[in-house]
Amino acid sequence: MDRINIDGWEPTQHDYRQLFQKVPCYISVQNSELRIIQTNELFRQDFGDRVGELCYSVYKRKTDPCPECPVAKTFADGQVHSSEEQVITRDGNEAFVIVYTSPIRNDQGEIVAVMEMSTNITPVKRLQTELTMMGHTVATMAHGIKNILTGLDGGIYVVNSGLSNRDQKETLKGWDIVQRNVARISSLVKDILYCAKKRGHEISVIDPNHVVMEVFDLFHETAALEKIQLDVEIDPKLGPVQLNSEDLHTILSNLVHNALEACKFDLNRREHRVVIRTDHKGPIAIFEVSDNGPGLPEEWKSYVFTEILSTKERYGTGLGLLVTKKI
Amino acid sequence: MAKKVLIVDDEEDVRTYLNSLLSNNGYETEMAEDGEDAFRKVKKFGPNLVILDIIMPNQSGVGFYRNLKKSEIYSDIPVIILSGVTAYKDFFARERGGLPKPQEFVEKPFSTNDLLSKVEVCVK
Repeated sequence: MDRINIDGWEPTQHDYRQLFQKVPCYISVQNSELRIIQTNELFRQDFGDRVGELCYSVYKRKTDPCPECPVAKTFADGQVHSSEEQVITRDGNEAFVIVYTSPIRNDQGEIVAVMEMSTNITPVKRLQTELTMMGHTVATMAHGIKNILTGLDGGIYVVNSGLSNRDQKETLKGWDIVQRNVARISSLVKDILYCAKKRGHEISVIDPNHVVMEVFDLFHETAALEKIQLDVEIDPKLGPVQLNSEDLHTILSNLVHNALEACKFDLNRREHRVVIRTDHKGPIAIFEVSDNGPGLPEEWKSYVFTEILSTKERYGTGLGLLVTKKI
Repeated sequence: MAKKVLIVDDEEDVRTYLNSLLSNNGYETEMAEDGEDAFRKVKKFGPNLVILDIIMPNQSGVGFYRNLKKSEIYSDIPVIILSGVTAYKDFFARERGGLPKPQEFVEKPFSTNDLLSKVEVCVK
Protein backbone atom coordinates (compact mmCIF):
# COMPACT_ATOMS: atom_id res chain seq x y z
CA MET A 1 0.00 0.00 0.00
CA ASP A 2 1.58 3.33 -0.99
CA ARG A 3 -1.15 5.66 0.23
CA ILE A 4 -4.23 5.89 2.48
CA ASN A 5 -7.42 7.16 0.90
CA ILE A 6 -8.97 10.18 2.55
CA ASP A 7 -12.74 10.32 2.35
CA GLY A 8 -13.85 12.71 -0.33
CA TRP A 9 -10.36 13.28 -1.74
CA GLU A 10 -8.93 11.36 -4.65
CA PRO A 11 -5.60 12.97 -5.61
CA THR A 12 -5.59 14.16 -9.17
CA GLN A 13 -2.69 14.79 -11.52
CA HIS A 14 -3.01 18.43 -10.51
CA ASP A 15 -2.48 17.51 -6.86
CA TYR A 16 0.66 15.55 -7.69
CA ARG A 17 1.92 18.49 -9.74
CA GLN A 18 1.26 20.76 -6.74
CA LEU A 19 3.23 18.35 -4.55
CA PHE A 20 6.17 18.44 -6.97
CA GLN A 21 6.12 22.24 -7.03
CA LYS A 22 5.83 22.74 -3.29
CA VAL A 23 8.42 20.24 -2.03
CA PRO A 24 10.85 22.27 0.13
CA CYS A 25 13.97 21.24 -1.78
CA TYR A 26 15.37 21.87 -5.25
CA ILE A 27 14.01 19.49 -7.89
CA SER A 28 15.16 19.37 -11.46
CA VAL A 29 14.39 16.74 -14.06
CA GLN A 30 17.20 16.21 -16.56
CA ASN A 31 17.65 14.36 -19.83
CA SER A 32 20.66 12.25 -20.75
CA GLU A 33 22.56 15.34 -21.94
CA LEU A 34 22.13 16.70 -18.38
CA ARG A 35 19.84 19.38 -19.78
CA ILE A 36 17.18 20.58 -17.37
CA ILE A 37 13.67 19.79 -18.65
CA GLN A 38 11.59 20.61 -15.59
CA THR A 39 12.07 22.38 -12.24
CA ASN A 40 10.04 23.02 -9.09
CA GLU A 41 9.22 26.34 -7.39
CA LEU A 42 12.10 26.46 -4.90
CA PHE A 43 14.56 25.70 -7.67
CA ARG A 44 13.20 28.58 -9.77
CA GLN A 45 13.25 30.87 -6.76
CA ASP A 46 16.96 30.28 -6.04
CA PHE A 47 18.33 29.50 -9.53
CA GLY A 48 15.87 31.14 -11.91
CA ASP A 49 13.86 29.75 -14.77
CA ARG A 50 16.61 27.65 -16.38
CA VAL A 51 14.74 25.00 -18.34
CA GLY A 52 16.73 24.02 -21.42
CA GLU A 53 20.11 24.79 -19.83
CA LEU A 54 22.77 22.32 -18.75
CA CYS A 55 22.71 21.27 -15.09
CA TYR A 56 26.40 21.99 -14.40
CA SER A 57 26.11 25.39 -15.98
CA VAL A 58 23.11 26.30 -13.83
CA TYR A 59 24.27 24.84 -10.52
CA LYS A 60 27.99 25.45 -10.76
CA ARG A 61 28.53 27.91 -13.60
CA LYS A 62 30.88 25.39 -15.17
CA THR A 63 31.45 24.47 -18.79
CA ASP A 64 32.05 20.76 -18.17
CA PRO A 65 30.03 18.11 -16.32
CA CYS A 66 31.06 17.25 -12.76
CA PRO A 67 33.43 14.26 -12.66
CA GLU A 68 31.21 12.22 -10.31
CA CYS A 69 27.82 13.30 -11.64
CA PRO A 70 25.07 11.39 -9.79
CA VAL A 71 22.58 12.01 -12.60
CA ALA A 72 24.91 10.40 -15.16
CA LYS A 73 25.39 7.46 -12.79
CA THR A 74 21.63 6.98 -12.49
CA PHE A 75 21.28 7.07 -16.29
CA ALA A 76 23.99 4.41 -16.46
CA ASP A 77 22.75 1.94 -13.83
CA GLY A 78 19.18 2.99 -12.95
CA GLN A 79 20.06 3.20 -9.27
CA VAL A 80 19.59 6.01 -6.75
CA HIS A 81 22.82 7.96 -6.23
CA SER A 82 23.73 10.71 -3.83
CA SER A 83 26.50 13.23 -3.40
CA GLU A 84 27.33 16.39 -1.53
CA GLU A 85 27.84 19.40 -3.77
CA GLN A 86 28.63 23.09 -3.57
CA VAL A 87 26.43 25.18 -5.82
CA ILE A 88 25.99 28.88 -6.63
CA THR A 89 22.55 30.45 -6.43
CA ARG A 90 21.28 33.10 -8.85
CA ASP A 91 22.37 35.91 -6.50
CA GLY A 92 25.91 34.55 -6.33
CA ASN A 93 25.73 32.93 -2.89
CA GLU A 94 27.42 29.59 -2.34
CA ALA A 95 25.25 26.82 -0.94
CA PHE A 96 25.94 23.27 0.14
CA VAL A 97 23.44 20.66 -0.98
CA ILE A 98 22.91 16.93 -0.60
CA VAL A 99 21.79 15.53 -3.92
CA TYR A 100 19.71 12.40 -4.50
CA THR A 101 18.87 11.15 -7.96
CA SER A 102 16.17 8.80 -9.12
CA PRO A 103 15.37 7.39 -12.58
CA ILE A 104 12.15 8.22 -14.45
CA ARG A 105 11.14 5.34 -16.71
CA ASN A 106 8.67 5.06 -19.60
CA ASP A 107 6.12 2.25 -20.01
CA GLN A 108 8.82 0.01 -21.48
CA GLY A 109 10.98 0.51 -18.38
CA GLU A 110 13.56 2.58 -20.20
CA ILE A 111 15.12 5.51 -18.36
CA VAL A 112 13.97 8.65 -20.14
CA ALA A 113 14.96 11.20 -17.53
CA VAL A 114 16.47 11.49 -14.06
CA MET A 115 15.02 13.48 -11.20
CA GLU A 116 17.58 15.30 -9.08
CA MET A 117 16.46 16.36 -5.63
CA SER A 118 18.81 18.62 -3.64
CA THR A 119 18.43 19.64 -0.02
CA ASN A 120 20.14 22.82 1.08
CA ILE A 121 22.36 21.97 4.06
CA THR A 122 24.27 25.27 4.23
CA PRO A 123 23.22 26.06 7.83
CA VAL A 124 24.37 22.59 8.93
CA LYS A 125 27.68 23.10 7.13
CA ARG A 126 28.16 26.45 8.83
CA LEU A 127 27.57 24.82 12.18
CA GLN A 128 30.08 22.11 11.28
CA THR A 129 32.70 24.75 10.43
CA GLU A 130 32.02 26.52 13.72
CA LEU A 131 32.50 23.26 15.60
CA THR A 132 35.76 22.57 13.79
CA MET A 133 36.93 26.07 14.63
CA MET A 134 35.99 25.49 18.23
CA GLY A 135 38.05 22.29 18.23
CA HIS A 136 41.05 24.18 16.87
CA THR A 137 40.57 26.93 19.41
CA VAL A 138 40.52 24.40 22.24
CA ALA A 139 43.75 22.84 20.89
CA THR A 140 45.38 26.27 20.85
CA MET A 141 44.19 27.03 24.36
CA ALA A 142 45.55 23.70 25.55
CA HIS A 143 48.94 24.56 24.11
CA GLY A 144 48.97 27.99 25.77
CA ILE A 145 47.94 26.44 29.06
CA LYS A 146 50.71 23.83 28.77
CA ASN A 147 53.32 26.60 28.64
CA ILE A 148 51.80 28.36 31.62
CA LEU A 149 51.65 25.11 33.58
CA THR A 150 55.35 24.56 32.93
CA GLY A 151 55.99 28.05 34.29
CA LEU A 152 53.83 27.41 37.35
CA ASP A 153 55.48 24.03 37.96
CA GLY A 154 58.81 25.77 37.71
CA GLY A 155 57.82 28.57 40.08
CA ILE A 156 56.51 26.14 42.69
CA TYR A 157 59.63 24.01 42.40
CA VAL A 158 61.94 26.99 42.86
CA VAL A 159 59.88 28.30 45.82
CA ASN A 160 60.06 24.86 47.49
CA SER A 161 63.75 24.57 46.73
CA GLY A 162 64.36 28.05 48.23
CA LEU A 163 62.36 27.18 51.33
CA SER A 164 64.15 23.89 51.94
CA ASN A 165 67.55 25.50 51.32
CA ARG A 166 66.49 28.46 53.54
CA ASP A 167 67.47 30.67 50.62
CA GLN A 168 65.24 33.74 50.59
CA LYS A 169 66.63 34.96 47.28
CA GLU A 170 65.74 31.69 45.57
CA THR A 171 62.30 31.65 47.23
CA LEU A 172 61.55 35.14 45.93
CA LYS A 173 62.77 34.19 42.48
CA GLY A 174 60.34 31.26 42.49
CA TRP A 175 57.53 33.47 43.74
CA ASP A 176 58.20 35.90 40.88
CA ILE A 177 57.80 33.03 38.41
CA VAL A 178 54.51 32.00 40.02
CA GLN A 179 53.20 35.59 39.85
CA ARG A 180 54.27 36.02 36.24
CA ASN A 181 52.50 32.86 35.19
CA VAL A 182 49.33 33.77 37.06
CA ALA A 183 49.40 37.02 35.04
CA ARG A 184 49.78 34.95 31.86
CA ILE A 185 46.68 32.95 32.78
CA SER A 186 44.81 36.20 33.25
CA SER A 187 45.95 37.44 29.85
CA LEU A 188 45.04 34.15 28.16
CA VAL A 189 41.56 34.18 29.69
CA LYS A 190 41.04 37.72 28.37
CA ASP A 191 42.06 36.55 24.88
CA ILE A 192 39.68 33.60 25.10
CA LEU A 193 36.85 35.93 26.05
CA TYR A 194 37.77 38.29 23.21
CA CYS A 195 37.56 35.36 20.78
CA ALA A 196 34.36 33.97 22.22
CA LYS A 197 32.45 37.24 22.28
CA LYS A 198 30.08 37.75 19.41
CA ARG A 199 30.98 41.00 17.79
CA GLY A 200 29.09 43.03 15.30
CA HIS A 201 30.87 43.52 12.04
CA GLU A 202 29.40 46.85 11.06
CA ILE A 203 30.29 47.55 7.50
CA SER A 204 30.98 51.01 6.22
CA VAL A 205 32.66 52.57 3.23
CA ILE A 206 36.38 52.74 3.97
CA ASP A 207 39.62 53.44 2.18
CA PRO A 208 41.37 50.04 2.36
CA ASN A 209 44.75 51.49 1.39
CA HIS A 210 44.56 53.70 4.47
CA VAL A 211 44.11 50.61 6.69
CA VAL A 212 47.07 48.96 4.94
CA MET A 213 49.24 52.00 5.71
CA GLU A 214 48.15 51.86 9.35
CA VAL A 215 49.26 48.23 9.53
CA PHE A 216 52.54 49.13 7.83
CA ASP A 217 53.14 51.90 10.40
CA LEU A 218 52.42 49.43 13.17
CA PHE A 219 55.01 46.90 12.03
CA HIS A 220 57.74 48.72 10.13
CA GLU A 221 59.86 49.41 13.22
CA THR A 222 59.62 45.82 14.42
CA ALA A 223 60.59 44.63 10.96
CA ALA A 224 63.56 46.99 10.83
CA LEU A 225 64.77 45.71 14.21
CA GLU A 226 64.75 42.18 12.81
CA LYS A 227 66.44 43.41 9.59
CA ILE A 228 63.42 42.42 7.54
CA GLN A 229 62.34 44.69 4.71
CA LEU A 230 58.64 45.50 5.06
CA ASP A 231 57.09 47.02 1.93
CA VAL A 232 53.66 48.07 0.77
CA GLU A 233 52.51 47.88 -2.82
CA ILE A 234 49.34 49.87 -3.05
CA ASP A 235 46.93 49.64 -5.93
CA PRO A 236 46.11 53.34 -6.48
CA LYS A 237 43.00 52.40 -8.42
CA LEU A 238 41.54 50.53 -5.47
CA GLY A 239 38.83 52.92 -4.38
CA PRO A 240 36.62 52.92 -1.31
CA VAL A 241 35.16 49.52 -0.38
CA GLN A 242 32.45 48.33 1.99
CA LEU A 243 34.24 46.63 4.86
CA ASN A 244 34.68 46.67 8.59
CA SER A 245 37.98 48.52 8.97
CA GLU A 246 38.72 46.97 12.38
CA ASP A 247 38.32 43.46 10.93
CA LEU A 248 40.58 44.28 7.99
CA HIS A 249 43.17 45.74 10.37
CA THR A 250 43.06 42.60 12.55
CA ILE A 251 43.40 40.25 9.57
CA LEU A 252 46.31 42.13 8.01
CA SER A 253 48.07 42.56 11.37
CA ASN A 254 47.86 38.85 12.11
CA LEU A 255 49.17 37.92 8.67
CA VAL A 256 52.02 40.45 8.77
CA HIS A 257 52.95 39.32 12.27
CA ASN A 258 53.10 35.70 11.11
CA ALA A 259 55.08 36.61 7.99
CA LEU A 260 57.66 38.48 10.09
CA GLU A 261 57.93 35.56 12.50
CA ALA A 262 58.43 33.16 9.59
CA CYS A 263 61.28 35.30 8.25
CA LYS A 264 62.82 35.66 11.69
CA PHE A 265 63.21 31.90 12.06
CA ASP A 266 64.41 31.27 8.52
CA LEU A 267 68.08 30.34 8.50
CA ASN A 268 68.37 29.63 4.81
CA ARG A 269 68.25 33.21 3.59
CA ARG A 270 69.97 36.37 4.72
CA GLU A 271 67.67 38.99 3.23
CA HIS A 272 64.02 38.79 4.05
CA ARG A 273 61.13 40.76 2.69
CA VAL A 274 57.48 40.98 3.64
CA VAL A 275 55.07 42.73 1.29
CA ILE A 276 51.56 43.96 1.98
CA ARG A 277 49.84 44.36 -1.34
CA THR A 278 46.46 45.63 -2.49
CA ASP A 279 44.93 44.93 -5.86
CA HIS A 280 41.53 44.69 -7.47
CA LYS A 281 39.84 42.42 -9.95
CA GLY A 282 36.65 44.03 -11.18
CA PRO A 283 34.57 44.83 -8.10
CA ILE A 284 36.67 42.53 -5.86
CA ALA A 285 39.32 44.07 -3.59
CA ILE A 286 42.37 41.86 -3.06
CA PHE A 287 44.64 42.00 -0.01
CA GLU A 288 47.80 39.95 0.01
CA VAL A 289 50.60 39.47 2.52
CA SER A 290 53.60 37.58 1.21
CA ASP A 291 57.03 36.78 2.58
CA ASN A 292 60.15 35.07 1.29
CA GLY A 293 60.51 32.97 4.43
CA PRO A 294 60.78 29.21 4.32
CA GLY A 295 57.04 28.52 3.91
CA LEU A 296 55.50 25.65 5.79
CA PRO A 297 57.14 22.24 5.60
CA GLU A 298 54.77 19.70 4.08
CA GLU A 299 54.40 17.78 7.33
CA TRP A 300 53.30 20.93 9.16
CA LYS A 301 50.57 21.97 6.80
CA SER A 302 47.91 20.00 8.59
CA TYR A 303 48.69 22.00 11.73
CA VAL A 304 47.78 25.35 10.22
CA PHE A 305 45.16 27.00 12.43
CA THR A 306 45.98 24.51 15.16
CA GLU A 307 48.71 24.29 17.74
CA ILE A 308 51.87 24.47 15.64
CA LEU A 309 51.36 28.09 14.79
CA SER A 310 50.56 29.03 18.32
CA THR A 311 54.06 29.20 19.67
CA LYS A 312 54.63 30.88 22.98
CA GLU A 313 52.98 33.42 25.14
CA ARG A 314 55.76 35.91 24.60
CA TYR A 315 54.87 35.96 20.92
CA GLY A 316 51.14 36.29 21.56
CA THR A 317 48.40 33.89 22.35
CA GLY A 318 48.52 31.98 19.08
CA LEU A 319 44.99 32.97 18.32
CA GLY A 320 45.89 35.22 15.40
CA LEU A 321 45.10 32.87 12.55
CA LEU A 322 42.03 31.56 14.30
CA VAL A 323 40.71 35.10 14.69
CA THR A 324 41.61 35.79 11.05
CA LYS A 325 39.76 32.70 9.88
CA LYS A 326 36.79 33.56 12.06
CA ILE A 327 36.51 37.06 10.56
CA MET B 1 82.87 14.94 38.82
CA ALA B 2 79.45 16.47 38.16
CA LYS B 3 78.02 15.94 34.69
CA LYS B 4 77.42 19.09 32.71
CA VAL B 5 74.03 19.99 31.27
CA LEU B 6 73.40 22.92 28.93
CA ILE B 7 69.86 24.30 29.23
CA VAL B 8 68.63 26.06 26.07
CA ASP B 9 65.30 27.86 26.38
CA ASP B 10 64.26 31.41 25.55
CA GLU B 11 61.93 31.58 28.54
CA GLU B 12 63.75 32.73 31.63
CA ASP B 13 61.22 31.01 33.91
CA VAL B 14 61.92 27.65 32.32
CA ARG B 15 65.69 28.19 32.46
CA THR B 16 65.47 29.09 36.15
CA TYR B 17 63.30 26.03 36.81
CA LEU B 18 65.61 23.60 35.02
CA ASN B 19 68.69 25.20 36.53
CA SER B 20 67.29 24.78 40.03
CA LEU B 21 66.08 21.23 39.36
CA LEU B 22 69.33 20.00 37.85
CA SER B 23 71.61 21.80 40.33
CA ASN B 24 69.66 20.28 43.22
CA ASN B 25 70.25 16.89 41.66
CA GLY B 26 74.00 17.23 41.37
CA TYR B 27 74.45 18.47 37.82
CA GLU B 28 76.59 21.37 36.75
CA THR B 29 74.54 23.65 34.55
CA GLU B 30 74.91 26.43 32.04
CA MET B 31 72.09 28.30 30.33
CA ALA B 32 71.53 29.73 26.86
CA GLU B 33 68.57 31.68 25.52
CA ASP B 34 68.71 30.84 21.81
CA GLY B 35 70.47 28.63 19.30
CA GLU B 36 73.37 31.02 18.62
CA ASP B 37 74.02 31.55 22.30
CA ALA B 38 73.79 27.79 22.82
CA PHE B 39 76.47 27.01 20.27
CA ARG B 40 78.87 29.46 21.90
CA LYS B 41 78.15 27.83 25.26
CA VAL B 42 78.69 24.33 23.84
CA LYS B 43 82.21 25.35 22.82
CA LYS B 44 82.97 27.04 26.12
CA PHE B 45 81.17 24.77 28.59
CA GLY B 46 81.59 21.36 26.91
CA PRO B 47 78.30 19.84 28.12
CA ASN B 48 77.57 16.12 28.49
CA LEU B 49 73.95 16.81 27.52
CA VAL B 50 71.86 19.59 25.97
CA ILE B 51 68.23 20.14 26.97
CA LEU B 52 66.80 22.00 24.02
CA ASP B 53 63.67 24.06 23.48
CA ILE B 54 62.61 24.50 19.85
CA ILE B 55 60.87 27.78 19.23
CA MET B 56 63.32 30.51 20.09
CA PRO B 57 64.32 33.80 18.50
CA ASN B 58 67.53 34.33 16.50
CA GLN B 59 68.30 30.67 15.96
CA SER B 60 65.62 28.10 16.69
CA GLY B 61 66.22 24.74 18.32
CA VAL B 62 65.97 23.05 14.92
CA GLY B 63 68.81 25.21 13.52
CA PHE B 64 70.96 24.64 16.59
CA TYR B 65 70.33 20.88 16.48
CA ARG B 66 71.34 20.75 12.83
CA ASN B 67 74.57 22.67 13.49
CA LEU B 68 75.38 20.54 16.50
CA LYS B 69 74.84 17.24 14.72
CA LYS B 70 76.76 18.36 11.64
CA SER B 71 79.69 19.47 13.74
CA GLU B 72 82.67 17.11 13.72
CA ILE B 73 83.58 17.88 17.32
CA TYR B 74 80.22 18.13 19.08
CA SER B 75 77.93 15.77 17.18
CA ASP B 76 78.13 13.09 19.89
CA ILE B 77 76.59 15.31 22.57
CA PRO B 78 73.16 13.84 23.40
CA VAL B 79 70.12 16.10 23.15
CA ILE B 80 66.78 16.03 24.92
CA ILE B 81 64.14 18.06 23.10
CA LEU B 82 61.88 19.83 25.61
CA SER B 83 58.92 21.43 23.88
CA GLY B 84 55.26 22.16 24.42
CA VAL B 85 54.53 21.68 20.73
CA THR B 86 53.72 18.00 20.41
CA ALA B 87 54.00 18.17 16.63
CA TYR B 88 57.78 18.30 17.09
CA LYS B 89 57.65 14.81 18.49
CA ASP B 90 56.49 13.61 15.07
CA PHE B 91 58.91 16.01 13.38
CA PHE B 92 61.89 14.48 15.19
CA ALA B 93 60.54 10.92 15.15
CA ARG B 94 62.52 10.07 12.03
CA GLU B 95 65.88 11.04 10.65
CA ARG B 96 65.81 14.27 8.73
CA GLY B 97 68.36 15.15 6.07
CA GLY B 98 70.86 12.64 7.42
CA LEU B 99 70.56 13.99 10.96
CA PRO B 100 70.22 11.44 13.76
CA LYS B 101 67.14 11.48 15.97
CA PRO B 102 67.46 13.25 19.31
CA GLN B 103 67.92 10.96 22.33
CA GLU B 104 64.62 11.92 23.95
CA PHE B 105 61.56 14.12 23.51
CA VAL B 106 59.97 15.51 26.66
CA GLU B 107 56.72 17.39 26.45
CA LYS B 108 56.04 20.49 28.52
CA PRO B 109 54.68 20.52 31.17
CA PHE B 110 56.89 17.69 32.32
CA SER B 111 57.24 15.51 35.37
CA THR B 112 60.50 16.22 37.19
CA ASN B 113 61.07 12.50 37.83
CA ASP B 114 60.57 11.68 34.16
CA LEU B 115 62.98 14.38 33.03
CA LEU B 116 65.59 13.49 35.66
CA SER B 117 65.50 9.80 34.75
CA LYS B 118 65.98 10.65 31.08
CA VAL B 119 68.81 13.03 31.90
CA GLU B 120 70.48 10.32 33.96
CA VAL B 121 70.31 7.83 31.08
CA CYS B 122 71.60 10.35 28.55
CA VAL B 123 74.68 11.45 30.51
CA LYS B 124 75.83 7.90 31.33
